[in-house]
Amino acid sequence: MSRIESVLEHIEPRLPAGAIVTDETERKTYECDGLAVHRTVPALVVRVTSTAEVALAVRACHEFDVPFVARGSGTGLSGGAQPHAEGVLIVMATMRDILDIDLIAQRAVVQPGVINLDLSNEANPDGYYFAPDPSSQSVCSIGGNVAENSGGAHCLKYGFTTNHVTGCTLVTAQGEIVEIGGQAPEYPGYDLLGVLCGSEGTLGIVTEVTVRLTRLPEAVETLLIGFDSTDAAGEAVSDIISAGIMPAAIEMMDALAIEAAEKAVACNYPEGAGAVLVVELDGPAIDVELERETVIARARDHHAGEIRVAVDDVERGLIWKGRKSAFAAVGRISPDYIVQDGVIPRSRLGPVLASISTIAEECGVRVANVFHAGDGNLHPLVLFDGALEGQAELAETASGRILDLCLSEGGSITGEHGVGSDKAKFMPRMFTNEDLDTMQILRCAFDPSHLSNPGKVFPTPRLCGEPPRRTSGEHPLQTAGKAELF
Amino acid sequence: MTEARPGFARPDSVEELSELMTGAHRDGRSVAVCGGGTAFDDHPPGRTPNLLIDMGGLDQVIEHSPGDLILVAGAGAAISELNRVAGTGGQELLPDFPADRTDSGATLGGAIATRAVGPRRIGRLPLREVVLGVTVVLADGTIARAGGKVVKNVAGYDLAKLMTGSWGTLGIIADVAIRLYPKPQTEGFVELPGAEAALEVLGSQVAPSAVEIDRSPGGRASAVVMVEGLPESVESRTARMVDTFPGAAPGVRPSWWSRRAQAPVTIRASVSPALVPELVAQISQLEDTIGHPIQLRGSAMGVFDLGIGAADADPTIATRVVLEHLRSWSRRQLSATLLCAPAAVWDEVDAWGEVPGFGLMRTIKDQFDPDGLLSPGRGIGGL
Repeated sequence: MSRIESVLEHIEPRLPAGAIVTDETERKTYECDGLAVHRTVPALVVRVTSTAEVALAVRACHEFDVPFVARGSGTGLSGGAQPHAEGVLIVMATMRDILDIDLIAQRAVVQPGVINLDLSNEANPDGYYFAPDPSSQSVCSIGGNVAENSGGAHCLKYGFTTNHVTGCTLVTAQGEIVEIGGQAPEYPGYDLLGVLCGSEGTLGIVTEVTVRLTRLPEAVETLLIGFDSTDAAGEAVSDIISAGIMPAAIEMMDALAIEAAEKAVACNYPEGAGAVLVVELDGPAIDVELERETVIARARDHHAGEIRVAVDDVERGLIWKGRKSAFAAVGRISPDYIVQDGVIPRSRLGPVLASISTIAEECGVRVANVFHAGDGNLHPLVLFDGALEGQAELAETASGRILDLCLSEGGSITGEHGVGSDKAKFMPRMFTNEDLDTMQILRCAFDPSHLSNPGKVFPTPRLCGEPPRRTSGEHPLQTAGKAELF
Repeated sequence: MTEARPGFARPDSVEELSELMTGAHRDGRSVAVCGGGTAFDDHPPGRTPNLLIDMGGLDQVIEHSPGDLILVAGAGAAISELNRVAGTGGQELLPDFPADRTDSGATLGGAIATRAVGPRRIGRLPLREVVLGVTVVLADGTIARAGGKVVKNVAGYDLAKLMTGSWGTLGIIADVAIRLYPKPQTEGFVELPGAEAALEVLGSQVAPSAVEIDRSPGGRASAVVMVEGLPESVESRTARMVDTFPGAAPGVRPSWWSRRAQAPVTIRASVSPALVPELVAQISQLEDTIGHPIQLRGSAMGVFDLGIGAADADPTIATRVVLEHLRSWSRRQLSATLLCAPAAVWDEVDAWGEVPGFGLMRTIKDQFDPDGLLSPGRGIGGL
């Protein structure tokens, strides 16, 4: 009997009918997440409805040495939920209950499959919301947000998912159920929640989450500002930040991204603009009003064209629609595209965008730029036609070179999409062997057998108990003169 | 090979720190770290280490980029000095940090290792969220980096958060990249009559930077709200509070602001915000039970320091009663731990209670420091 058959034999009698998927065609529907280029059909799929069922499945995997992968809504863009061919895919989307909302405590307790926006919709009538808002918020799950430490357009001001989680129930890689944190703001000891958020499912499976709810702001104002060029828009962003304003969001799109959005959703952005900024201000009404005047003045300093202030939720919605649909929209102007996710120090925006266009030219591909301009998180969209021979490879090369560019500026290979299976190979460009080995020490504490989402995040994990490689000398980024110690 | 007195070392670079640690590891010598020395009285005193490392030599500002909202500095740099540097760009550092420790020379590394908290955690991100990246030296001398120096980054495990609040028991923080905040132009204060009013402000549209509750021994609790921002905004929001909340009055920054309660024993109580008024009420009852005064001070978000006892009496029994009472009162929505106490009290009470996830913490400690050489006895529950 194979190991996977042993798992099946063990869990089948203990789970409700329909929980286990063995049929190949049905298993195939889970072969990828939002990054469809990486596909693997899982050996077995289990749709769970409780912490106890997750623990049962994981214990069986642990006993028979079978890898397992947790999957939420499957909207991730780095292959973080890509199944394992000899493993069990644990589908969390079926754990979709909001268990408790306590407005005085400003807390909610949810199952991990709860859709991000559903929680906000539930809390909105009482004046609260769940602050992390990735563009996929109408479909992505809160468990996935925890795994990826999701950000979104508003994280510059409100922080990532990790800032909004105060407790969780964790099923460890050995199948034990551990309660971590709770409703209080802080608990003694090591920051386990801090390391679980963003660990991409490699430290166990979170089966219940206590999150903070945030008061809806008194006023929100959204501005759409057209500029001649991304340079001018970038300089306006710098001036807004140095004026001491912390906008809820500052997003930028370049001409190609605007063209795509226009074709897809007719968002009616300023015609002929070389770049647009979407600036959102929120807070007490008086602050928003004062800040709006400053933003407009700073934008005019950089020869802003049209400045549109959304007067109501409908107009605000339309402005955001252009931005939030940008990834999908490029499908209108290109048969294929790669969504890249890199980070640079924001002040380097101008030179980096210039280098990106050089890279695009040299590789013979087009690049549309959409990004969170407030925090330097770039989303270059590398456009190509997969039907033309060699184009996919060229796009892949351009995409990789953009990441190298981000690193050479002292940035990061991912700001919010995660490493997953897609970028594991880039980790050694950002970190030394010592850095990666140190992360593995943590991994070994949680998952010594490497069964929880193996093959993600790290290129070549060493075995637990194996002595670390010791080398000495400078960090690769330092050697290249690209970064100071950080 | 325990020595009566520890050896001292003062490395001037990360590499020197690494060499010291490699040597200590090879010889099986235990190591403790000293920054500004402002948290020596917090947490259990621990066992005397063989080697005490003074981080004062690692105090350089490595990078300061106001446009990117970042500052990178050595762990031994003083918070007050870094605040001065950040101020040159119209920004500030560590908005959420106790003033009494800053005034006494607290360092960046020490602030992070001890996860210090101050009032302004409501309007800003807490300390753990502004630490963007760290360089740490592990027990065996390995130099490892995690995170980065950009404000947004999800590559790899967030070891910076693991180090935040680890009290030197997992590795020594050598340098840190931290996110800066624009310095608000003005601040304003409003006094409120009690804990319920404080909670109402939290749920209002006032957008406070801080809501602090202070209760002198035997007295009534009062709350002070801080708002920050542009002068017109501060004026308008202050006036609105005075109009809206019964008993509210314009105030000034209280003398106790951002300073911890001074008492022989301090207990840290963290509760769900919903339980804050009830916690304050419990303190009056507890005072009657133990026959000792209790000072309560902290954030309406639910993090309080309770100062217990008088200098002339043994506070051991009172401490035990308060800890046990609070823990039995509400389990998962509260944690009550000993923060600061005479050595004798540490030995006589259950300082930590039931810590969620302690088993995992134990395993992490064993993985990072299998020989137990780092800051022995300084962590929670013997970590």
